[in-house]
Parts: sequence; structure tokens; C-alpha cells
Amino acid sequence: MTHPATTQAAAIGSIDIEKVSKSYGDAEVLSEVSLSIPAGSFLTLLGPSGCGKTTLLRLIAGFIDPTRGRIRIDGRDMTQVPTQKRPIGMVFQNLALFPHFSVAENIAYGLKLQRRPQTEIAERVGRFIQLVGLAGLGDRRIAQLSGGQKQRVALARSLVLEPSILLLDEPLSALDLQLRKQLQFALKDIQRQLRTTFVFVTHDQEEATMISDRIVVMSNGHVQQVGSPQEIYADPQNLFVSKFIGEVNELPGRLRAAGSTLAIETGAGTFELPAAVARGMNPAAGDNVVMCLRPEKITLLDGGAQPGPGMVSAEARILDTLVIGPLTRVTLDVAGTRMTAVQMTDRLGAAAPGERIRIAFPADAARVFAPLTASLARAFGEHA
Amino acid sequence: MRKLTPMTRAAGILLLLMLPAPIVIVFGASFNGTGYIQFPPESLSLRWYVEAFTDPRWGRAVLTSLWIAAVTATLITAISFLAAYFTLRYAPRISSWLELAIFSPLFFPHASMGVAAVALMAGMGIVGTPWAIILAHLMVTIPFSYRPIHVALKSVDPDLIRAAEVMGASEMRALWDIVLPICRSGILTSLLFTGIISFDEVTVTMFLIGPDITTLPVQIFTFIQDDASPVLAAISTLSVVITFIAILVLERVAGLSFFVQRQSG
Amino acid sequence: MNTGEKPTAAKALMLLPALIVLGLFFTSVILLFSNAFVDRGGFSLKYFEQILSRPDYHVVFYRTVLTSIVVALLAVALAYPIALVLWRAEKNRNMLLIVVLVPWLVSLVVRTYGWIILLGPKGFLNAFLGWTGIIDTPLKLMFNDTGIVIGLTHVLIPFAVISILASLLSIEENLEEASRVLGASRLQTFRTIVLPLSLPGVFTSLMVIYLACVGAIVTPLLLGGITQKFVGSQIYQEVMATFNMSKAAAWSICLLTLSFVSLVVLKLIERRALRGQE
Repeated sequence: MTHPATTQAAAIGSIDIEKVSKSYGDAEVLSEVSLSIPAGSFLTLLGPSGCGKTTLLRLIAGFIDPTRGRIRIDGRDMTQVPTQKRPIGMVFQNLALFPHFSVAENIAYGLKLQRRPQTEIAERVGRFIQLVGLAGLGDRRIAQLSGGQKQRVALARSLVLEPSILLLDEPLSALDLQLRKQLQFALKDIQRQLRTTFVFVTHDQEEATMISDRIVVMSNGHVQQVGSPQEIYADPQNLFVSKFIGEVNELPGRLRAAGSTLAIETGAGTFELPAAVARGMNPAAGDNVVMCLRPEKITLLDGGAQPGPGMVSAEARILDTLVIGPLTRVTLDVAGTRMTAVQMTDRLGAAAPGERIRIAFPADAARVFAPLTASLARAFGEHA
Repeated sequence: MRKLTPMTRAAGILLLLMLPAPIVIVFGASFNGTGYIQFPPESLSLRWYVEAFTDPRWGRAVLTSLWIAAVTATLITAISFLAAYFTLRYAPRISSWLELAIFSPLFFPHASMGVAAVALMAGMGIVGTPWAIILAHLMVTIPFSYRPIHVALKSVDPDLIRAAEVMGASEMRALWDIVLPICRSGILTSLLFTGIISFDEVTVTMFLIGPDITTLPVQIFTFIQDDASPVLAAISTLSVVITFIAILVLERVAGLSFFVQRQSG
Repeated sequence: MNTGEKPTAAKALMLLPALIVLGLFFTSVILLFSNAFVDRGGFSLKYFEQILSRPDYHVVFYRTVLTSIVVALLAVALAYPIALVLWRAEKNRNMLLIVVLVPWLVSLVVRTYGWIILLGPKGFLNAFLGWTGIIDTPLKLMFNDTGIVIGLTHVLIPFAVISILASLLSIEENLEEASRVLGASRLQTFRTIVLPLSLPGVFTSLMVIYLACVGAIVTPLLLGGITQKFVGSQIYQEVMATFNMSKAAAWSICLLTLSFVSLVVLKLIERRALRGQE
């Protein structure tokens, strides 16, 4: 089983995307995307609009055909297999519930197509109505449901067919925040129960990190990084991913020296960092780079406290503090550059606006990237 | 302008009531017992209806008109549906060209269309057969059929079709289970609207009748010219009743909003 | 509902029936032309020359166009108040709409027959007026241009009502309110908001009614009689009485050209009138 993608014995529910490209005329919306989705995982395709995530989902569903490359499901090449014959379910962004059917009829539709016996259909429809928490609403018309209820019907309708793979195209985007959170948990819960492979598309990084086992960050038709939410957050491989996931302090600068340590000249001063913090580039003196630092990596040093070993420090002035429960956001002016630090509120001491202090951060907690290419910067700008 | 001035309102209502006036007159005349229209009417009678129903020529014309209308409406609705479905789903780029072609008959004066139709049907050797009338009616009704169906199909969310297909429906199944029911009112509008048009069409049809076949309106037309017997009032009333029922059915099953939608695009 | 799929050749067959109908229509137009330029087996402009040179034929065209213009303007003017009433009758609109739709969809022949009963020398109106003693000899209301204008206008008003109503219904409710709030009088609001925004419906009506008039046969024939010839009635006679297809075709082409030219003129007027809208 060294090449699961090419053996018939591949796990049910696995997807292998092999060098898939999709072009419309001259415009290439996906270029040479390769991706392995293990069976039973909750994988999220994350990226700004136009990054190709929805296109990829539609390719898996078979609504469109790849210009080049191959998609395998359960190890089987799907290129010639029409949508109807693929072992997938799908929840659409606009849900696509059949307006002329009741809740139960919507859920039963796929089973009817499979010509299952009437009793089995009734039993399964009932079970799934229960599973998604819509007990008693089977006879309702779609128009009589709330947004969240519609969502659950769409989910039940796809899951009742017990597909090995469920594709979800931004299904929560139309809901308000609270309902969204509720359904995120519900989705995760159902996925754990059924062990169905979920491929979830969203542009919301918070949703992605909350909900999934694995995240695929995409931009401009390319996969930027694949990993668990923790990996993606803690160790982004390029500036795009770093900016896209979570909050980050960005310090554009220039490499003065690049050897076993990197000396980076930024607006906030010059920092000496181990060479291992550079990602996705071969650092050389004179390069324009961007140094990134997560706000929670910054420590405010009290009074005359000295930075610990392996810490890098700088002079700063507090501009503002904002208490958000257990955490406090501190806005800092570091030699004319604005930075944000997040501290535990109870350990903050008497930091007041205007106060001059020292800040410190572990040298290996920073990351150094090459600046964004123009097209990535544009993709990001459209997102923000 | 939430409310109209009383003057405008009165004028509008008066004019509105004028619209059905000739039809009401025909209706009244059909029950007149004397030989010709009289005021005040001298007696009421059903004799003209008796005469209409006993004269086989009228029965034949009514039946001919009805079956030609049914065939025309069914054919043109199917034709328009297939064309609209194909263009909207697979070839949206040719949509505006197709519409241009389909709506072009609207810009032809009926008299010219009639002569053109005779030229065509004579060339095909079918003048005086029902097929000539049906073909001509297809040409006359295609814009009125295509419009409501196109509007209805356009409103179908493509994801509904995709959803059905993901659940395992073939294209035919998705069409039957999902697209058709959602387009129901557009299709019914097309069926009834084109049926009514075909049933009442006269200007083009009268060029195409023959010794063996004539439609109800054309026969009424011929009889008015020959001898305007009050039996015509009875038979006209019958034709009004048929049209009226069709309109009521249309209102019931599909609503009338199609007629007052701003025809955009 | 485009799903972005490429159609197979077999699916393209769905277009075929419609293309056949359209193909037949365009073939009929081509045959119309080929008929018009043929006389006794050879190419000929005989019937076009005849139309150009005979003053009595000029009168027919002149009468047709003039009547059609009068009817179109009259029908729109009379339809407008009806459309306003329907526009404002929110609750009963469907019922009132049926009152408009029935006369529109009932056969032309029946409606014209109604006018014959009303206007004829021994018709309802003359009988009524005679009975009341207002007149001694019957008024001549039919077999002249008056009869044609009355008949055609009445036949075509319903279309104008529907078309103008569609325009009115597309006006956003709050535009009017805004205008009133800004201090415009009822009349000013009508003149500056309602009327301009209903013009698309007005122009559609003018166009369709004009076209229906110039191509009319039944109404002019029945209400105008044999003396007040219309282009349509002339064409009908050539086909049905004298069996002269070439002459009928030539007349049809002149009629066609005439309506296209008129349409272009009307479109230009419409563009001027609607400048600044949309």
C-alpha cells in the first residue's frame, strides 16, 4: 500500500486529486493541484473568493471536467464517471432544496431514485430527520422552515444516502453568527458519528480552524499549504497563509546578513533570528522579506525584567489596551511601527497607555517570508 | 397618486366597461327571438342555439377548432420547452439569437404572414388540410409560448438540477421530477395561452382553409359576409364561452401575472 | 439554469423542432418574395410598378397608414385611464384583468361581429335611437372610415391596457411617495414620475397596435365594406377572389416594407422620448 491512490484497495471515502488543472478559455482557475484526502477526514478547502476552492469541489462532484489531470475516488478514476454514479453527496451553498417537496419528500428523494422499498425509505427518512434534529417537521413545506432548519434538511437529504463522501459548498454562509456556530458543532458531531469524508468549502478561516481535521489553504488556483489547523496556524509556510489564518504582526524589512542567523532590518529595529525561521525561501543578504509575529508570542516585560534566553527584545510604547475577558489586546508603538500583543489579562500588571516598556518574543517564534507576489496580494486584498 | 382623482377613476371604469360591450351585445342578440336585432327585444328564445346545434357545419367547425387548438398548444409548448431548456442549460450564448428569431414573427403584419403562409403551404401542397393550419398556428404562436416557458425555466436554480443528479437522478429524471414541476405555471400559461390564440386565430387561418376544413372563427367570418343570421350570435357566444373558460382555467392554474410582467431581456 | 456542461450532439436535437418551425417561417417569407417578382413564369416588377402608378392604390395605402396611426394613438389614450384604474385596484386587479383579457383573447371576428350588431344600419344603436325618436333615418356608422376606426380601436385597446399596466406596475412604489413628500402636486407627480416611467409600455402598445392595424383584414373588411379598402382587404381579395398570388405577394411586401419603415421611425421617436431613462 505504498501508492494507495493507484490500488483498488484504497479506503472507501478517499479522494486523490492528481495534477488537476481547470481552465476557462485563457483563464486558468486551478493549476496542477495535487491533494490526497484520507477517508473519514473532515477536510476544509479554505481561501478567498476566486481561489479555486469551489471549482475543485465541483470537479470532485463531476459538474465540470478537469482540463488536465485526474481525480480518483476510492482509488477509482472518476474522469468518465458522471455525477449520478459518483459515491458522493453534496450540500449546496444555497442549499438547493426542492421547493415543491416537503421536508420528508426532500430527504426521501434519493432513496426513491434507488427504488428502495417503501418501509425502508420511511424508516431511514425518520432516522435522519431525528439525526439532524428536525423531529416532527417532516410534513413541513420548505418555505415554512427557518434558515437553520433548511440547513439541516439539506444535510439530512445528502446523508440519508450514506455517501462515502460529502461535499459542502459554504453551506453556512447565509446564516447569522450564533446559528452558524451551533451548526458548526452539529456538523462536526455528525461527521464524527458517521465517519463520512467531509470536504467543506469556506472562505472563513475561523470556521475552517474550528471545524476541520485538515485545512487546505488555496489561492489563485494553487494549494498554498495543507495541514492540521494547529500546523497551519503555528507554522505557515508562506506569507499568504500567515496573513490568512489568524492575526499576525507584519514587519516588512530587509536581510542585512543571512548565515546561521538572519539579521533583519525592520521599521521596528533590527532583529537577529535563527535561520530556521525562514519559510518558503532561500534567505540571502539584501532580500526584501516580511517578518511575522503572532500577537500572543509577544511578552511585555515588567519594570526591569530581563528577557529570558532565546528571547529577542525591543523598546516600545503602549498606545492602547483593550480588555476582552481573559485576554487583553495591547496596541504598541515599536520604533514607529504599530504592533499588537495579546496578553493574559491577569498577568498584564499596570500597563497604561503612554507607558514606555520593553517587549520580548522567542526568536524562533517569528517567521520570515518572501513578500507576496502581486497576484497573491490582489487575492488577499479582495478578501480583506 | 395613491388614489386616482374621481374623474380619472370614473373615466377609467367607464372605458373598462366598454371593452366587453360588443361581446355583451352579441350575447344579448343570441337570445333574441325575432329575425334580426331589435330594440327593444320582442321575445327571448333559444331558437338560434337550437339552430346552431342542429346544423352540422357548426358542430364540425367547433370540433375542428378545438382539436387544432389542442394539437397546436401541445406541440408548440413541447417545442418551446425543448428549445428553451437546451439553450438555457447548455448554450446560453445562443439564447439571444434564438429569441430574436422566435420573436421575429411578431414584427410581421398578419396580412403579409397570411400570404407568406399560403405561398409556403401551396408549395408543400397542403393548403386545405389541417396540417397547413396547424403549421401556420405554430409559427403564429411560437413567441407566445416561448416567452412564459423561458421566463419560468430561467428562474430554475441550476443547483436544483445538480442536487438531483448528485442524488442519483438521470437528466430525464431531474427534468421530470424537478424542472417540470417548478416550471408548471409557465408551461400551463403557454398551453392555455397558445390554445386560446389558435382557437381564435382568423387572419392567417382564413387563407388556408379548404372545402373540407374550416375553423370556427373563419366560418363565422364567412357567414357574416354571406348572410348575417342571428345564429351567428349564438355561435359567437359559444366561442366566447370557450375562450372565457380557458381564461378562467388559466387564472386558476397559473395566475395572470405573466400578462402584466414587464417583459425584460 | 446554465450548469456549465457541454451538450452532446444528441442533446442539441432538442433545438431541432423549434428550428424547423422557424425555418418554415423564414422559408415562407422567401417564397413571398419569389412570388412577388414573378409574372407568367418570368422576373417582373409589374405589380410593384402598378402599386406605384395607380392613384387608387395610393389611397388604399394612405388610408391604411393614416387609420393605423389614428387607431394607435386613440387606443393608447383610451387605454391609459383603464390601466391606471387596474394599477390602483390592488385587491380586485385579477378580476378586472379578466374583464380586459376576455375581450383581448376572444376572436377578432366575434368582437367585430358585435360592432356590426351595434353599428349596422339595422343595428342596435340605430334601433335604439329610432325607438327614442331622436333620429328618423338610420345613421351611417358602418361601411366607412368611422366604422373601421371604432372597430380597430376597440379590438386593440386591451393590449394597450395590459402593456401600459405592466409598465406602471414596474414603477417603484416609493418613487411616487418621494415625489409627493418633496412637495410635488398630484398632477406634477403624474407628469414627472408616472407618465415618463410608463412610456416604455406606451411605445410597445403604439408599435404592436400599429402593426396589427396595417396588417388587419377582418375588421376593415367587415366594417369598412368594399369601398373603403385597406391594404389587408385588398390582399385578401387578390388571394381569395382573383387568385393572383403574385399581386398579393407584391402587396404583402409593400406592406412589410411600410411597417418596417414605420417601426424604425417609431423606434427613433421612442429613443428620443426615453433618453436619459435606464
